[in-house]
Amino acid sequence: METVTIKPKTKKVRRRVPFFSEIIKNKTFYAMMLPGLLFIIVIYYLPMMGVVIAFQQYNPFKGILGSPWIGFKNFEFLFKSDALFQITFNTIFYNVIFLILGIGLALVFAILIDSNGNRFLSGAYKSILLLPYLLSWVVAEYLLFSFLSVDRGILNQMLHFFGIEPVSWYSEPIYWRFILPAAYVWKNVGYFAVIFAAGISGISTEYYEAAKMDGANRFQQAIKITIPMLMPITIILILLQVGKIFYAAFGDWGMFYNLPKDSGILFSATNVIDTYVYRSLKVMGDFGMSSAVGLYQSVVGFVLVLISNFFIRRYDKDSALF
Amino acid sequence: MMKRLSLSNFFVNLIFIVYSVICIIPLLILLSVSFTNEQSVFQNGYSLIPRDFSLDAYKYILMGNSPIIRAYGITIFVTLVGTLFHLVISSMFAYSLSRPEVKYRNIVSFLVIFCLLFSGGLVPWYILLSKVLHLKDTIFVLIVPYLVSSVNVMIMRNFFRTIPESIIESARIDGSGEFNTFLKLVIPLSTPVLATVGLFVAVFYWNDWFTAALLIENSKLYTLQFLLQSIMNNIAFLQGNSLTVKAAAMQPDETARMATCVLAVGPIVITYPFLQKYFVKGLTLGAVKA
Amino acid sequence: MNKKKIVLSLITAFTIVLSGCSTDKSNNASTNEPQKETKVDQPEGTGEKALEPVELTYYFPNSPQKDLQTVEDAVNKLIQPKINATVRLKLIDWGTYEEKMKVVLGSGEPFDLAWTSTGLNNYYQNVANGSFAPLNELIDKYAPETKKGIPDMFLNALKVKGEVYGIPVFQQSTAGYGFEIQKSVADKYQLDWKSVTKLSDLTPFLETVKKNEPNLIPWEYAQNLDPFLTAPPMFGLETLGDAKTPGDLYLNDATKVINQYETPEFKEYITMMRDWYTKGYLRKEAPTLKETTADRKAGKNALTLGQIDIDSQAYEAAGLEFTGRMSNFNKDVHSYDMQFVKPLLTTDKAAATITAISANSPNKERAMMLLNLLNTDKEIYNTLVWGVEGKHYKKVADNRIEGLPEGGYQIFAPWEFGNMTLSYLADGDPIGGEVDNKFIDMWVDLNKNAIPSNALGFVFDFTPVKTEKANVDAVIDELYYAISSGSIDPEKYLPQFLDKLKNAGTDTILAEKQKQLDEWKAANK
Repeated sequence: METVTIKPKTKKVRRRVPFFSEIIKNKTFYAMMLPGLLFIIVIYYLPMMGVVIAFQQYNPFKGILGSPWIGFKNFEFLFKSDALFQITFNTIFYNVIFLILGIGLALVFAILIDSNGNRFLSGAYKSILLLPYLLSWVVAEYLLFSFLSVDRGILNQMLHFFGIEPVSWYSEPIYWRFILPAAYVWKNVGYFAVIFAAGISGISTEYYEAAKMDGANRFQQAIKITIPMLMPITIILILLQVGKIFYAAFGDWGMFYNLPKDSGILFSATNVIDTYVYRSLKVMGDFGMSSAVGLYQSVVGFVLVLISNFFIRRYDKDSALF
Repeated sequence: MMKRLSLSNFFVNLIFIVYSVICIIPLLILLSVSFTNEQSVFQNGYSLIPRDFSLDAYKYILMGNSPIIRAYGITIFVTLVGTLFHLVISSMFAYSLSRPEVKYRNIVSFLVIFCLLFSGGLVPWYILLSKVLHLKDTIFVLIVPYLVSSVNVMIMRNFFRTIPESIIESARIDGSGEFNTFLKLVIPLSTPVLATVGLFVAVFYWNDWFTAALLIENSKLYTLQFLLQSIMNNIAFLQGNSLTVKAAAMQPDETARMATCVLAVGPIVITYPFLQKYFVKGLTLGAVKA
Repeated sequence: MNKKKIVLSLITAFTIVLSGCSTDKSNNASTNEPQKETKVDQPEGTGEKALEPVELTYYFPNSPQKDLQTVEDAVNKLIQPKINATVRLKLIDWGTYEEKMKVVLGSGEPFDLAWTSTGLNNYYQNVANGSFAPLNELIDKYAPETKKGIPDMFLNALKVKGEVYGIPVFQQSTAGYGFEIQKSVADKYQLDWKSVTKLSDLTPFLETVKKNEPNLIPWEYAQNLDPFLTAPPMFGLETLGDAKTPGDLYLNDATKVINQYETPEFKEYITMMRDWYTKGYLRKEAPTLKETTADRKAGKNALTLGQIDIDSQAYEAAGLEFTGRMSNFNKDVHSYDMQFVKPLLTTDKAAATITAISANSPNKERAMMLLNLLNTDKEIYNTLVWGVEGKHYKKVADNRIEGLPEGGYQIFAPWEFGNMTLSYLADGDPIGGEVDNKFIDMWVDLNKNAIPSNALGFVFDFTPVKTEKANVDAVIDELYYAISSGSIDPEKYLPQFLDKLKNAGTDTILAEKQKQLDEWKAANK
């Protein structure tokens, strides 16, 4: 076997190694990579060729090879639309809020839960926090509706009980600027919190013991130890979401459609790129047009990921995506 | 760690209790409505405790269509097998990407991220699975398309990086091969992330109805979610269409939808708390350090 | 984990289906160069006894049925001796059908028969894509009896450039329009419901209900019941293509395409609705309601829009007992149904339910033979539609049955297959209607004598204006229901709505529709 010298982790020794030598040198690793890589190529990259549909008048019967090319015509409807500013603004607005609130609150929750001495309560809180994530938005819609329904909703029943006028939640766009972030957090904070909790459990207790001996209280411990140690995973999560910045709710846009019950009056606050496209195209079913918008969203996200990744690399090489 | 019964502790717990209540109440309503008589729901709206207890909704679903028992079986099998293989493939992949010695790791990481952002769409995906790979109407089509996830690979990769290099080095010195190191050393240290990712994957497989809807026609291979979703969709659809509105009238509606949700989510909600022990903090790491 | 795809398509399937499917909301599409693959011209196989056994695949939507296999076996037992073929019934649930057929057709997978319509799995769009086989020759050769059983104008409505690509199911398609009123309400307040001739006549009734019956909803409204979109003839209009997109015709002037939202009729209508809404005749949430089954089941609606072919008075005249359409949802709620707009046969009604043969089918002749059987053989038809006697239903009179729900097969879809004149009468059909075929005769007459629309058979291809249509549809989704349910002030919002429509390209669409209409008229002289 090779003799191993203990090298510090930071600098890689650069040698001019041709492709095959590299593979042979690290053959175990490349072998381990193989199934995953193969899988990605077949399941994700092969169908990706279909993205050319965005530039075609796609005819299912003629297929990709037979359908006529129409250049950028499929992109027209989005860019000619009156609503373009509104939907783009909404998409980004909500995504940024979701990112900050979702990840921020999840960090806080994870730290708080972890610091709770009672192991049972800890576990219980984590389980409960995650519960909403397990539901589908369709279910969530029913639940929200049961809260907010003007005629029968629980919230209005409660207000009525206190002698306050029932509120018409589904008629005023402004409420939704708060309802939607709240709903997103309710549903997703558990997912992030569980990831952070897993990260925290990977932090050696030695650090905390040392800090305590130095007289740090819990708050300081959190700021000085936990958060920095969680930075890498946080950055990764943020970067991964950034790629989907133009996809409403990072891809899970059902919320924008179902929660407001597809109500036109609320569009100024609830219409995002994905819902707009969905509504415009559901009657026509034009594959090309929906593909075009998807391509547009992907390209924007991709550029943003490239840029952010570039900056993250300068800050901490290991935290970057690539 | 000292347990301090301070004001801050109390507040923290209070916040969590309130939040927990917010999370749980909707689910209790779900449960309650599913056990309520249909008419009562129409007349009185939703409530926390069923006003008119009734098993109609469950009867309708469980007696109704294709064998639900078999669908449970299929789903359980797919979830367990799928999650296992996903973890195996993804963790190997992630580990190899986390090793600094691997020269091409950044290129491959890029490939992993890129395909997360770009997609060809539904029809090419379908053509791949049915025409090219001939997986249509087999149990494999429920498992295979989801065996690797870019997000999970990245999360795991990062986690593996936090494992101290010294541990790996000492294993090498002791003569352990890379794969052996991975298996005997790294994996046991990674239970938190494996459990976390495993949970998400399992939830995904469990909730997936879409694959079956498009790619399974053999009723023996129907998954639970697909059956339940069909019921829910059918009810909604029938109501919206004047041709079928008569048929819609015959079926319980709101309560059936709620019952569907309970049946769909129930098993997960119940089993998850038992997985808690895998999320335990730093024990294993500390032990090895010594 | 492609969460995005999952949710996207889940929501797509779920909601496409929820909203896209009234019989009169059609989305007619292109008529550009349908592929004419006449691979059918094989001299052999016509009536020759040497038919090889063949298995046909038949896709159709319905709710999942536990006992489908028994029915399939029973049907196969009947058809095999006749055409030496068996059929595999691929029942796809409603919520998935659209998506499923999209990928099946989009990937070119071979199958034989599929259900289609103007609403779901759009017939015209599929024809334009070349997905269906041309049938003129096949019909003449293998299904002449079928052809005889359907009035010509129905078949003509399906013609695209002279060729038919599907066989319409002959069923209760034409419907006039009117309203339904709860019997108890009408009787209690002695409301003169028989004298109503237009919607606004209902205002005093609604007022009475509002004043005296706090537990009832005076006027039922939901998106799928919007009078202007569902019943354009009520306003003297008829739709060209789908009801939402601008571009209708006046009933009495079939040459000029107009923007229905700019008409005085529309203004009058929304002003009336505004009045109704502010007076509290509608549920506060009316504009967001997609459907109202819950209210119907609870018997909460006092009056509602009706799509009615045969109304209460007609049944009375024929001596048949009829409890009214409201009783379909709640047995104890009887209604008087009244029709005050005569039935008009439009393209989307004639094409509401069709069976097509795939262009990729390896057994087109055999598929056509099966269709012929479904259209002419009473036993086969009823087995497919109602199931096996004794297990799925029991006979209560010569031509009438009662369903047995525990049997495991209840598709309630006599309108989905073959020819509905073959059907037994079942629950919900007027009592006594089975005697001497009275009921069936009634609606057959109605269909035969319906006034055909001036644009029957015209199909609008929106590909040239797809950009405008996408944006126009978005504007309509945003503002239409709020305006038409009366929940916002028309004085303020109607001008806004019209402006937005204009900016989105309404004029381009109107011009295109006019152009295509003129061409179609010239070609069909």
